[in-house]
Amino acid sequence: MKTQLSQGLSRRDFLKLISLTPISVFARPLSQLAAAVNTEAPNIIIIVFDAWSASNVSLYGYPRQTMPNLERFVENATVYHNHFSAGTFTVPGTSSLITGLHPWSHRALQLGAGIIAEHVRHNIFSALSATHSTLGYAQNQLADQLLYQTDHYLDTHVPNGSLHVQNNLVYSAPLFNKDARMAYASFEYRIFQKGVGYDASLFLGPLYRLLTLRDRLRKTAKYGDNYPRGLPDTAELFVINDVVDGAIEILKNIQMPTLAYLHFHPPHDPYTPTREFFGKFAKGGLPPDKPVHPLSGKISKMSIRKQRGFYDEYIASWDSEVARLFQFLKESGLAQNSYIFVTSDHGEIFERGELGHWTPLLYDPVVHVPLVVSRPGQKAREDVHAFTSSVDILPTAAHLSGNLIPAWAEGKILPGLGGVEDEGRSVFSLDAKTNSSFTPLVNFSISITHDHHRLAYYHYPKNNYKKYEFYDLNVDPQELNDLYPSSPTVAIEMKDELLQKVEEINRPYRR
Amino acid sequence: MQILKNRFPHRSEIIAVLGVSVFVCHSWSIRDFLNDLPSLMLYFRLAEMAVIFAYMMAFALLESLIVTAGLAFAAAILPSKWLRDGFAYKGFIFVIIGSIAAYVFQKNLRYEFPSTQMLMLNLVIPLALIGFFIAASHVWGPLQKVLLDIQDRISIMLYVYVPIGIVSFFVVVFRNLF
Repeated sequence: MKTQLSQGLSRRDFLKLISLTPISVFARPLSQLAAAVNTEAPNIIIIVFDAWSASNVSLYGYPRQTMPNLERFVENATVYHNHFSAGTFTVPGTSSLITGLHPWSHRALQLGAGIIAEHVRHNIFSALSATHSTLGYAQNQLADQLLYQTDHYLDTHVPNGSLHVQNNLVYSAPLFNKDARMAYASFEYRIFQKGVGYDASLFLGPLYRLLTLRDRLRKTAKYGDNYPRGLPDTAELFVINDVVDGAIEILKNIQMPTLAYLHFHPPHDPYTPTREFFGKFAKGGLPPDKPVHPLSGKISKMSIRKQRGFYDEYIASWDSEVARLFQFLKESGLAQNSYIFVTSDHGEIFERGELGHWTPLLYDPVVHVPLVVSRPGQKAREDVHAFTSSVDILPTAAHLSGNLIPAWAEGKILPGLGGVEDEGRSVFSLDAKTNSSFTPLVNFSISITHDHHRLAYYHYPKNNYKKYEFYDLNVDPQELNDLYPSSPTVAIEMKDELLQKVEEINRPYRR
Repeated sequence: MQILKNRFPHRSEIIAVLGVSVFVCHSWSIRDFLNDLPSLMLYFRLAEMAVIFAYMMAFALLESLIVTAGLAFAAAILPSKWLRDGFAYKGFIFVIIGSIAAYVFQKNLRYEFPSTQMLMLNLVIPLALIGFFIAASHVWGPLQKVLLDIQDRISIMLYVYVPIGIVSFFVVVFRNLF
């Protein structure tokens, strides 16, 4: 895998070097770091795996052994068994992680959307900037856009493509550093489309696309031997072990105390495991067949089954590489003085005629995500079964770092990290990707999960579809038996709470 | 300097070709912007949409200049009978047929690098068409006149698109400097 760039400098050395470059190039002025000198405070390291569903992780009871290394890591960590993402894909899910706000508040609801202006300064980096230096890296471009929105509070923003083998995004060029979000919306989505629709640039667009495709061919020929289904791809190609190595290099260079947010693309699609895991889950270990949902993409069972296998292989492949990062955290001593959060922005579904996460459906595979937290020097595994949400990460990080919990934060401190188990807590997830950010919610799905019950409300008047679904997760964790038609009392109570919430959400947007 | 002046087409002819390039590049970009407008309106405010439009218009102006400069440079290095003499109508044919070829190419080019055969077809067919139309308008005077008349009318858009492109360029520069 090592490739000589020039005499004496391997490609991996080069990657290590460029992972350091942003520290000088993109660093916040030193004067602003004056406050962050309390070296006694613990680091906060937030590690996000994109599109990582608890439903496909062995730690959470999945019959396929997808993540043995994660299981070893949690021997000294706390496992949250009922943790839910507030959004269903990268933009709302990551925004909720970063802002501690529900999607209806931060309003980053659609592909390419950002946090609305009034909440841009409300983020985890600003909340901890008084005590911690801050570092952000996101492999997923959509998540990287959100980091650019909060750039003012980031001491170090590691460029998106710096750990990839292919780096041809226009927006991340230093030239557009001050206006990266607009440059992204203009170049990557319109001027150069890279395969989706027509380029707004009539002549140079296809030429650029040709160059990019040729570059992909070359990079695949060079690094693709170990990837039978092609190189991992986040619009740019990357090699998993390079990304893990790069992340280790980034963490090696942090100074106490730091808030580090590292957002990795795997196991997001396309599912491209290494050769070692290719075909590993071709058979067995499948959940029961479930009825096709009217709002699903009506994908065939065979295709879903195949893709589920690919997804599981990719998770296992990612687990085997990210084990080095876990090992580094332990051996370097970082685990001794850091709170390490490992979680996801949203899940991934392989059932009911649906595939992936571009879906209005709010079943467990989409919204139930792993959360593992390692406290400094934690010696034994702990398990928390209370219901928690991705919006809880920010207040918990603020609390652990000795900062005040911002008044705007909508989550709670996680149980086991200073918070208390709240049995009566309701956890919400929302999808409103076809709704405007500036109007009341009209076309949306919302779910409320409470005391092992879930009520989902699908409200799509434009598709002439309005329906409630209610499941008792204690007796029906696969969500097969919709109890709503029999109107149980709990469902009615949850419906009232949910409708009240929708009314509350929409009130500020009504004229 | 005199050699350069002799090799390059006359300024008025270059501007005439620039008019066509500007028209094609900006119109295509505006089409694309309008096509995306409904989705942009879901999550961008008016000012942000205006900035995206500015990026697109600034890039369209840059692209028009590159296309025109490329043709002028080609006219300078090729035998003058090929492109320099009658640069206005020949450039017009190049830009229009090139646009159609670029559109078809975009339509066919997706996620896979095309085969050599497809690349050659996308190059040879437009060049053959350009050659045919240049020869036809050279032989048949009325066709040349029609082309120049159309070009003359299109050039009016220079007065609209170029100022938009220049203002957009400064918007982009300003946003990335401050």
